[in-house]
Amino acid sequence: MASRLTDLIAKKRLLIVDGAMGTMLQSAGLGLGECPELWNIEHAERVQDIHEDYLKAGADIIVTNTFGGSPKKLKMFGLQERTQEINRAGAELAVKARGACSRSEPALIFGSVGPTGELLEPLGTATPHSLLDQFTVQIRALVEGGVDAIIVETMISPEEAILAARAAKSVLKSLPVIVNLTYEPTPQGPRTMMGTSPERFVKMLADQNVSVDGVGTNCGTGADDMVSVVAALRGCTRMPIVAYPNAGMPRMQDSVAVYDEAPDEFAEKTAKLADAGAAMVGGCCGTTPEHINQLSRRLSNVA
Amino acid sequence: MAQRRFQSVGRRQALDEKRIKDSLITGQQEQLCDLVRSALDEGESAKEVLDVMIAGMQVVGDRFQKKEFFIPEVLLAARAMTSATGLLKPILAASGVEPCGKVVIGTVLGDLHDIGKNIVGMMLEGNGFEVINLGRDVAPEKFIEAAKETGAEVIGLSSLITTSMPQMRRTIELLEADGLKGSVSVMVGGAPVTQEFANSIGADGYADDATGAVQKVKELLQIG
Repeated sequence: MASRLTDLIAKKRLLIVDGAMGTMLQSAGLGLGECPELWNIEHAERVQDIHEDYLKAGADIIVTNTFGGSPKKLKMFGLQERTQEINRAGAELAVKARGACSRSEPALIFGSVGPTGELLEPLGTATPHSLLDQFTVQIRALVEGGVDAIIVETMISPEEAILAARAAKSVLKSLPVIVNLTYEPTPQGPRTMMGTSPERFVKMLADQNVSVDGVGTNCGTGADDMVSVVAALRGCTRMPIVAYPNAGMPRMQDSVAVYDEAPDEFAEKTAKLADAGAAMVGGCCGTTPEHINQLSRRLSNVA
Repeated sequence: MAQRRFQSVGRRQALDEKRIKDSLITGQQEQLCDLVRSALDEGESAKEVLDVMIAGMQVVGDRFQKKEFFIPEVLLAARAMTSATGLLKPILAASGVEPCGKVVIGTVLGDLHDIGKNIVGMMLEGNGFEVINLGRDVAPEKFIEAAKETGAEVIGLSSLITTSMPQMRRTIELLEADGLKGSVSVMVGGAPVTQEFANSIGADGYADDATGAVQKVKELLQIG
């Protein structure tokens, strides 16, 4: 299916995804117990600034500040009634940021969809139907706000990830969807906390006839531990692969999380994910525009 | 006659012990409850049945720690355990068998994550502890209150986001101010939490997974 996403991958071979939103918002003053997504409305200019910083750093793809934008997550802040408004605003801010940074090849905007925090039956109480409904509400608002694609991120449950992908295709059949799980290293290879391997997830997508436009991984680990995930995915699918690791693992210093991996070290390690077969690489928790800038420069020099 | 009956009970007991353990480890709730019911019918003591299940739960914990088991296996086993323990509780209470300790658990203020903390709670219950689960987004004062009310020996604090971690320090400071530090131990855990962080805020224990948390609580309470 032709989309700007597939066209751009074909043209540039390797796309740079932006870096962290959450840890950037914290540095911008997001307080304890505050809803990060509400900043799309209450501190819109700061969220837009972060998007613009990443665009200037060389990101080809920016990801909306809507990770916790499902009605269930927003409900924890008493904001479920504002799901549509908050997600739409998140998408519109990214569109505005793109407009403010004109360049020959405009950036792509990925609408972020994170886990609902609920467990599906029989492990938890959520039904597939209820999750599908939640994702549909969120994704419809993201599409109205102007996203080019949906990225389902940081999922540990393959079933929940698949429901989010189905919801996206039900909102708009031509909407590109990429699905990322978060893996951790185990003696048997990378597994999600639910025990799912990258190969198993790709097989589930095929068996259940779920059409997606890319698969990948983000968060959970630094780039070192992500190489085996990308390699495993490369071994079992021809779909574009996306990978964006944390800036190493967090270390606590005076009650503040410090991600020690400096931009140059991060760039060097993350470039190896491209070598392993990823078509889109970027950063997750702890990464900054400088991390993305160094990654972008390193990869454009290599290419 | 009496001799034969004893032998036959003895054989069945050995058989059921394995089946009880296996059905717990594989998370077969109904089968486990059936086996527990018939064991009780046959005159097994509730305490012995509980000990067999606790041994089974330790196997689940070991496999989880070795990353042979993941969340689904642990949750299903823990649920089977909870439901079978429900059958034993009235009998245990009537015969004066006490839980091996009381633990107040919760996710700290500003943090809405639930799953990891609940797994720790179920593993503790599965190992014979009474667990008072305060849920998520729990203020430091609430932990202290609950520990006082219930006479819990341990408070377990969970945090999954770095911004909520200072609440762990605050809880310990409050405990100190109340003069309870020392009589109530504080355990901390959660993805971004480390041993160094635990040391730096004066926590009594840290574990990096649910199995480790159970071991640590046992250590703190000096249970073999």
